[in-house]
Amino acid sequence: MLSRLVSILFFLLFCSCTHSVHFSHMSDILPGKQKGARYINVEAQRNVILSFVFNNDFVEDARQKLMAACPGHEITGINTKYITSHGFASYTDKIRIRALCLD
Amino acid sequence: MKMIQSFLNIVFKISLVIFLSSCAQLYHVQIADVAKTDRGRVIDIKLSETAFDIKGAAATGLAIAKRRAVEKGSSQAADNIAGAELILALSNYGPRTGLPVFTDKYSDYLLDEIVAKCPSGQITGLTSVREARKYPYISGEIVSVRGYCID
Amino acid sequence: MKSYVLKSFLVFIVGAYLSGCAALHSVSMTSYPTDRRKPVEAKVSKLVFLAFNFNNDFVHDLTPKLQQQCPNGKVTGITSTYETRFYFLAHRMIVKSQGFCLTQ
Repeated sequence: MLSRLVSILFFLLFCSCTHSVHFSHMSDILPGKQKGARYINVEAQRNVILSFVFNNDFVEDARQKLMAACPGHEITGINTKYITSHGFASYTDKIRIRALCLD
Repeated sequence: MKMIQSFLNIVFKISLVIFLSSCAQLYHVQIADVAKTDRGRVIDIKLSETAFDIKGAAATGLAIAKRRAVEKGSSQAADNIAGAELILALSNYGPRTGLPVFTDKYSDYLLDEIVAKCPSGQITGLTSVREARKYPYISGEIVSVRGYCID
Repeated sequence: MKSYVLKSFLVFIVGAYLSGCAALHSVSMTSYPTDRRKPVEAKVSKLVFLAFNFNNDFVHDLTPKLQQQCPNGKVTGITSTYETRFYFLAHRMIVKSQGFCLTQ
Protein backbone atom coordinates (compact mmCIF):
# COMPACT_ATOMS: atom_id res chain seq x y z
CA MET A 1 0.00 0.00 0.00
CA LEU A 2 2.77 2.38 1.06
CA SER A 3 4.87 1.56 -2.02
CA ARG A 4 1.86 2.30 -4.25
CA LEU A 5 1.32 5.65 -2.52
CA VAL A 6 5.01 6.52 -2.90
CA SER A 7 4.93 5.64 -6.60
CA ILE A 8 1.81 7.82 -7.10
CA LEU A 9 3.49 10.75 -5.37
CA PHE A 10 6.69 10.20 -7.36
CA PHE A 11 4.89 10.34 -10.70
CA LEU A 12 2.67 13.25 -9.71
CA LEU A 13 5.58 15.33 -8.47
CA PHE A 14 8.30 14.31 -10.88
CA CYS A 15 6.63 13.43 -14.16
CA SER A 16 3.90 16.05 -14.30
CA CYS A 17 6.15 18.99 -15.04
CA THR A 18 7.63 18.22 -18.43
CA HIS A 19 7.26 20.09 -21.69
CA SER A 20 7.62 19.40 -25.37
CA VAL A 21 8.53 22.10 -27.89
CA HIS A 22 6.97 20.84 -31.14
CA PHE A 23 8.39 23.55 -33.38
CA SER A 24 9.83 27.04 -33.35
CA HIS A 25 9.29 28.99 -36.54
CA MET A 26 11.03 32.28 -37.44
CA SER A 27 9.35 34.56 -39.95
CA ASP A 28 11.16 36.97 -42.24
CA ILE A 29 12.63 40.14 -40.67
CA LEU A 30 11.82 43.32 -42.57
CA PRO A 31 15.21 44.67 -43.72
CA GLY A 32 16.89 47.40 -41.68
CA LYS A 33 13.90 48.16 -39.46
CA GLN A 34 14.82 46.41 -36.24
CA LYS A 35 16.62 49.39 -34.65
CA GLY A 36 14.38 50.95 -32.01
CA ALA A 37 11.81 48.18 -32.40
CA ARG A 38 9.95 46.92 -29.36
CA TYR A 39 9.83 43.25 -28.37
CA ILE A 40 6.32 41.91 -27.86
CA ASN A 41 5.33 38.62 -26.23
CA VAL A 42 1.97 36.91 -26.50
CA GLU A 43 0.75 33.51 -25.42
CA ALA A 44 -2.50 31.62 -25.91
CA GLN A 45 -3.24 28.25 -24.38
CA ARG A 46 -5.83 25.53 -23.96
CA ASN A 47 -6.21 22.82 -21.37
CA VAL A 48 -6.97 19.30 -22.54
CA ILE A 49 -8.25 16.51 -20.29
CA LEU A 50 -7.30 13.07 -21.57
CA SER A 51 -7.33 13.67 -25.35
CA PHE A 52 -10.65 15.41 -25.87
CA VAL A 53 -9.85 18.23 -28.29
CA PHE A 54 -12.62 19.57 -30.50
CA ASN A 55 -11.07 22.66 -32.09
CA ASN A 56 -7.84 24.63 -32.39
CA ASP A 57 -9.34 28.07 -31.72
CA PHE A 58 -6.51 29.04 -29.37
CA VAL A 59 -4.35 29.72 -32.47
CA GLU A 60 -6.81 32.47 -33.46
CA ASP A 61 -6.60 33.83 -29.88
CA ALA A 62 -2.81 34.07 -30.27
CA ARG A 63 -3.23 35.90 -33.59
CA GLN A 64 -5.69 38.39 -32.11
CA LYS A 65 -3.44 38.99 -29.10
CA LEU A 66 -0.46 39.60 -31.41
CA MET A 67 -2.37 42.24 -33.39
CA ALA A 68 -3.61 43.86 -30.19
CA ALA A 69 -0.06 44.05 -28.82
CA CYS A 70 1.07 46.20 -31.76
CA PRO A 71 -1.93 48.06 -33.17
CA GLY A 72 -1.38 50.10 -36.32
CA HIS A 73 2.27 49.18 -36.75
CA GLU A 74 4.25 46.60 -38.65
CA ILE A 75 5.13 43.36 -36.85
CA THR A 76 8.20 41.48 -38.00
CA GLY A 77 10.63 38.76 -36.85
CA ILE A 78 7.75 36.66 -35.55
CA ASN A 79 9.00 33.64 -33.61
CA THR A 80 6.09 31.22 -33.21
CA LYS A 81 6.44 28.26 -30.87
CA TYR A 82 4.01 25.41 -30.24
CA ILE A 83 4.56 23.86 -26.81
CA THR A 84 2.78 21.17 -24.82
CA SER A 85 3.10 21.08 -21.02
CA HIS A 86 2.33 17.59 -19.75
CA GLY A 87 0.28 16.82 -16.68
CA PHE A 88 -1.49 13.94 -14.98
CA ALA A 89 -4.15 12.68 -17.45
CA SER A 90 -4.22 16.16 -18.97
CA TYR A 91 -2.02 18.60 -20.81
CA THR A 92 -1.81 22.26 -21.83
CA ASP A 93 -1.11 23.34 -25.41
CA LYS A 94 0.50 26.76 -25.84
CA ILE A 95 1.25 29.03 -28.76
CA ARG A 96 3.98 31.41 -27.61
CA ILE A 97 5.01 34.30 -29.86
CA ARG A 98 7.88 36.77 -29.54
CA ALA A 99 8.13 39.42 -32.23
CA LEU A 100 9.32 42.94 -33.06
CA CYS A 101 6.79 45.77 -33.14
CA LEU A 102 7.99 48.59 -35.39
CA ASP A 103 6.36 51.52 -33.61
CA MET B 1 35.35 -21.90 -32.09
CA LYS B 2 37.89 -19.21 -31.20
CA MET B 3 37.24 -17.51 -34.56
CA ILE B 4 33.48 -17.39 -33.93
CA GLN B 5 34.13 -15.97 -30.47
CA SER B 6 36.37 -13.18 -31.81
CA PHE B 7 33.83 -12.46 -34.58
CA LEU B 8 31.03 -12.15 -32.00
CA ASN B 9 33.28 -9.95 -29.90
CA ILE B 10 33.78 -7.55 -32.85
CA VAL B 11 30.03 -7.55 -33.60
CA PHE B 12 29.32 -6.75 -29.94
CA LYS B 13 31.83 -3.86 -29.93
CA ILE B 14 30.43 -2.40 -33.16
CA SER B 15 26.86 -2.69 -31.80
CA LEU B 16 27.96 -0.97 -28.58
CA VAL B 17 29.54 1.92 -30.52
CA ILE B 18 26.38 2.32 -32.66
CA PHE B 19 24.18 2.10 -29.55
CA LEU B 20 26.17 4.69 -27.63
CA SER B 21 26.74 7.12 -30.49
CA SER B 22 24.12 9.77 -31.10
CA CYS B 23 21.45 9.70 -33.74
CA ALA B 24 20.21 12.89 -35.35
CA GLN B 25 16.47 13.23 -35.74
CA LEU B 26 14.72 15.94 -37.75
CA TYR B 27 11.18 16.98 -36.82
CA HIS B 28 10.39 20.24 -38.57
CA VAL B 29 11.95 22.62 -41.12
CA GLN B 30 10.66 25.92 -42.45
CA ILE B 31 12.22 28.62 -44.63
CA ALA B 32 11.28 32.31 -44.54
CA ASP B 33 11.64 34.87 -47.35
CA VAL B 34 14.83 34.81 -49.41
CA ALA B 35 15.87 38.30 -50.61
CA LYS B 36 17.23 39.19 -54.04
CA THR B 37 20.77 39.89 -52.80
CA ASP B 38 24.13 38.22 -52.35
CA ARG B 39 24.04 35.51 -49.72
CA GLY B 40 25.82 37.50 -47.01
CA ARG B 41 27.37 36.24 -43.80
CA VAL B 42 26.02 33.03 -42.28
CA ILE B 43 24.51 33.33 -38.82
CA ASP B 44 23.84 30.16 -36.85
CA ILE B 45 21.89 30.00 -33.63
CA LYS B 46 21.36 26.78 -31.72
CA LEU B 47 19.41 26.56 -28.46
CA SER B 48 19.12 23.21 -26.74
CA GLU B 49 18.00 21.41 -23.61
CA THR B 50 18.89 17.97 -22.29
CA ALA B 51 15.97 15.56 -22.00
CA PHE B 52 15.69 12.28 -20.10
CA ASP B 53 13.37 9.42 -20.99
CA ILE B 54 12.10 8.89 -17.44
CA LYS B 55 8.90 7.31 -18.68
CA GLY B 56 10.76 4.87 -20.91
CA ALA B 57 13.21 3.93 -18.16
CA ALA B 58 10.36 3.47 -15.64
CA ALA B 59 8.40 1.35 -18.15
CA THR B 60 11.44 -0.90 -18.69
CA GLY B 61 11.93 -1.23 -14.92
CA LEU B 62 8.27 -2.07 -14.35
CA ALA B 63 8.27 -4.64 -17.18
CA ILE B 64 11.29 -6.41 -15.63
CA ALA B 65 9.70 -6.27 -12.14
CA LYS B 66 6.42 -7.63 -13.51
CA ARG B 67 8.14 -10.55 -15.23
CA ARG B 68 9.99 -11.43 -12.01
CA ALA B 69 6.75 -11.21 -10.00
CA VAL B 70 4.98 -13.52 -12.47
CA GLU B 71 7.90 -15.97 -12.38
CA LYS B 72 7.75 -16.04 -8.56
CA GLY B 73 3.96 -16.47 -8.69
CA SER B 74 3.28 -13.35 -6.64
CA SER B 75 -0.07 -12.13 -7.95
CA GLN B 76 -0.21 -9.29 -5.36
CA ALA B 77 3.09 -7.85 -6.60
CA ALA B 78 1.98 -8.22 -10.22
CA ASP B 79 -1.26 -6.32 -9.42
CA ASN B 80 0.74 -3.53 -7.75
CA ILE B 81 2.98 -3.25 -10.79
CA ALA B 82 -0.06 -3.16 -13.11
CA GLY B 83 -1.39 -0.26 -11.00
CA ALA B 84 1.95 1.52 -11.26
CA GLU B 85 1.89 0.98 -15.06
CA LEU B 86 -1.52 2.67 -15.25
CA ILE B 87 -0.23 5.64 -13.24
CA LEU B 88 2.81 5.77 -15.51
CA ALA B 89 0.59 5.82 -18.61
CA LEU B 90 -1.41 8.77 -17.23
CA SER B 91 1.62 10.67 -15.91
CA ASN B 92 3.39 13.07 -18.22
CA TYR B 93 0.38 12.82 -20.50
CA GLY B 94 0.09 14.57 -23.85
CA PRO B 95 1.56 14.85 -27.33
CA ARG B 96 5.31 15.11 -27.61
CA THR B 97 7.97 15.88 -30.17
CA GLY B 98 11.17 14.16 -29.12
CA LEU B 99 11.72 13.57 -25.42
CA PRO B 100 10.06 15.93 -22.91
CA VAL B 101 12.23 18.54 -21.19
CA PHE B 102 11.88 20.20 -17.78
CA THR B 103 11.60 23.76 -19.08
CA ASP B 104 9.66 25.26 -21.98
CA LYS B 105 11.70 28.45 -21.96
CA TYR B 106 14.99 27.24 -23.46
CA SER B 107 14.18 28.63 -26.91
CA ASP B 108 12.36 31.81 -25.85
CA TYR B 109 15.11 34.23 -26.83
CA LEU B 110 15.83 33.02 -30.34
CA LEU B 111 14.76 36.32 -31.89
CA ASP B 112 17.01 38.31 -29.51
CA GLU B 113 20.00 36.18 -30.54
CA ILE B 114 19.30 36.77 -34.24
CA VAL B 115 19.01 40.52 -33.70
CA ALA B 116 22.25 40.54 -31.66
CA LYS B 117 24.15 38.55 -34.29
CA CYS B 118 23.07 40.77 -37.17
CA PRO B 119 23.07 44.41 -36.02
CA SER B 120 22.53 45.71 -39.58
CA GLY B 121 19.05 44.17 -39.56
CA GLN B 122 19.40 42.85 -43.13
CA ILE B 123 18.65 39.16 -42.62
CA THR B 124 17.42 36.81 -45.29
CA GLY B 125 16.75 33.11 -45.86
CA LEU B 126 16.00 32.27 -42.23
CA THR B 127 15.71 28.49 -41.92
CA SER B 128 14.07 27.24 -38.72
CA VAL B 129 14.86 23.68 -37.67
CA ARG B 130 13.51 21.58 -34.81
CA GLU B 131 15.76 18.56 -34.30
CA ALA B 132 17.27 16.24 -31.67
CA ARG B 133 20.42 14.28 -30.95
CA LYS B 134 19.33 10.98 -29.49
CA TYR B 135 21.17 8.63 -27.15
CA PRO B 136 19.73 5.75 -25.12
CA TYR B 137 17.30 7.27 -22.56
CA ILE B 138 18.74 10.76 -23.10
CA SER B 139 18.59 13.35 -25.86
CA GLY B 140 19.50 16.89 -26.75
CA GLU B 141 16.35 18.69 -27.92
CA ILE B 142 17.41 21.45 -30.29
CA VAL B 143 15.84 24.55 -31.82
CA SER B 144 18.10 26.11 -34.42
CA VAL B 145 18.05 28.87 -36.99
CA ARG B 146 20.41 29.61 -39.86
CA GLY B 147 20.20 32.83 -41.86
CA TYR B 148 22.27 35.19 -43.98
CA CYS B 149 23.17 38.61 -42.62
CA ILE B 150 23.99 41.35 -45.11
CA ASP B 151 26.38 43.73 -43.28
CA MET C 1 -26.26 1.32 -10.26
CA LYS C 2 -22.54 0.72 -10.84
CA SER C 3 -23.16 -0.78 -14.29
CA TYR C 4 -25.40 2.20 -15.20
CA VAL C 5 -22.60 4.66 -14.32
CA LEU C 6 -20.06 2.59 -16.27
CA LYS C 7 -22.38 2.41 -19.31
CA SER C 8 -23.00 6.16 -19.19
CA PHE C 9 -19.27 6.82 -19.01
CA LEU C 10 -18.63 4.48 -21.96
CA VAL C 11 -21.36 6.19 -24.03
CA PHE C 12 -19.82 9.59 -23.20
CA ILE C 13 -16.32 8.45 -24.23
CA VAL C 14 -17.52 6.84 -27.50
CA GLY C 15 -19.75 9.84 -28.28
CA ALA C 16 -16.91 12.28 -27.67
CA TYR C 17 -14.56 10.37 -29.94
CA LEU C 18 -17.16 9.91 -32.71
CA SER C 19 -18.02 13.61 -32.73
CA GLY C 20 -14.45 14.36 -33.80
CA CYS C 21 -11.14 15.14 -32.21
CA ALA C 22 -8.73 17.79 -33.39
CA ALA C 23 -4.96 17.86 -33.63
CA LEU C 24 -2.73 20.80 -34.44
CA HIS C 25 0.42 20.12 -36.43
CA SER C 26 1.91 23.46 -37.37
CA VAL C 27 1.45 27.21 -37.15
CA SER C 28 3.56 29.83 -38.93
CA MET C 29 3.39 33.57 -39.44
CA THR C 30 4.96 36.13 -41.77
CA SER C 31 5.49 39.85 -41.05
CA TYR C 32 2.31 41.82 -40.36
CA PRO C 33 1.68 45.08 -42.27
CA THR C 34 0.58 48.39 -40.76
CA ASP C 35 -2.56 48.41 -42.90
CA ARG C 36 -4.78 45.58 -41.68
CA ARG C 37 -8.07 46.86 -43.06
CA LYS C 38 -8.65 44.12 -45.62
CA PRO C 39 -8.31 40.64 -44.11
CA VAL C 40 -8.36 37.63 -46.43
CA GLU C 41 -8.82 33.99 -45.51
CA ALA C 42 -8.63 30.71 -47.39
CA LYS C 43 -9.06 27.10 -46.38
CA VAL C 44 -8.43 23.82 -48.16
CA SER C 45 -9.12 20.36 -46.84
CA LYS C 46 -9.12 16.71 -47.76
CA LEU C 47 -11.15 13.88 -46.26
CA VAL C 48 -9.10 10.71 -45.93
CA PHE C 49 -10.82 7.37 -45.35
CA LEU C 50 -8.76 5.12 -43.07
CA ALA C 51 -5.20 5.99 -44.15
CA PHE C 52 -5.70 5.95 -47.92
CA ASN C 53 -4.03 9.19 -48.90
CA PHE C 54 -1.93 9.08 -52.05
CA ASN C 55 -1.03 12.76 -52.47
CA ASN C 56 -1.22 16.11 -50.72
CA ASP C 57 -1.98 18.18 -53.85
CA PHE C 58 -4.95 19.88 -52.16
CA VAL C 59 -2.55 22.30 -50.42
CA HIS C 60 -1.65 23.89 -53.79
CA ASP C 61 -5.19 25.33 -54.07
CA LEU C 62 -4.55 27.57 -51.07
CA THR C 63 -2.38 30.25 -52.77
CA PRO C 64 -4.77 30.78 -55.75
CA LYS C 65 -7.66 31.10 -53.26
CA LEU C 66 -5.77 33.86 -51.42
CA GLN C 67 -4.81 35.55 -54.72
CA GLN C 68 -8.45 35.59 -55.87
CA GLN C 69 -9.38 37.66 -52.83
CA CYS C 70 -6.60 40.17 -53.49
CA PRO C 71 -6.33 40.42 -57.31
CA ASN C 72 -4.47 43.75 -57.52
CA GLY C 73 -2.43 43.59 -54.35
CA LYS C 74 -0.08 41.67 -52.15
CA VAL C 75 -1.05 39.35 -49.32
CA THR C 76 1.12 39.74 -46.20
CA GLY C 77 0.87 38.90 -42.50
CA ILE C 78 -0.06 35.34 -43.35
CA THR C 79 -0.86 32.96 -40.51
CA SER C 80 -0.92 29.36 -41.75
CA THR C 81 -2.18 26.42 -39.72
CA TYR C 82 -2.27 22.74 -40.53
CA GLU C 83 -4.67 20.69 -38.44
CA THR C 84 -6.43 17.34 -38.55
CA ARG C 85 -9.94 16.41 -37.47
CA PHE C 86 -10.49 12.77 -36.62
CA TYR C 87 -13.78 10.98 -37.24
CA PHE C 88 -14.86 7.37 -37.10
CA LEU C 89 -12.66 5.51 -39.66
CA ALA C 90 -11.67 8.77 -41.37
CA HIS C 91 -9.89 12.05 -40.83
CA ARG C 92 -9.86 15.44 -42.52
CA MET C 93 -6.65 17.35 -43.18
CA ILE C 94 -7.21 21.11 -43.04
CA VAL C 95 -4.80 23.84 -44.09
CA LYS C 96 -5.94 27.38 -43.34
CA SER C 97 -4.33 30.74 -44.12
CA GLN C 98 -5.32 34.18 -42.93
CA GLY C 99 -3.63 37.36 -44.12
CA PHE C 100 -4.09 40.98 -45.16
CA CYS C 101 -4.50 42.34 -48.68
CA LEU C 102 -2.37 45.38 -49.42
CA THR C 103 -3.34 47.33 -52.54
CA GLN C 104 -0.88 49.87 -53.90
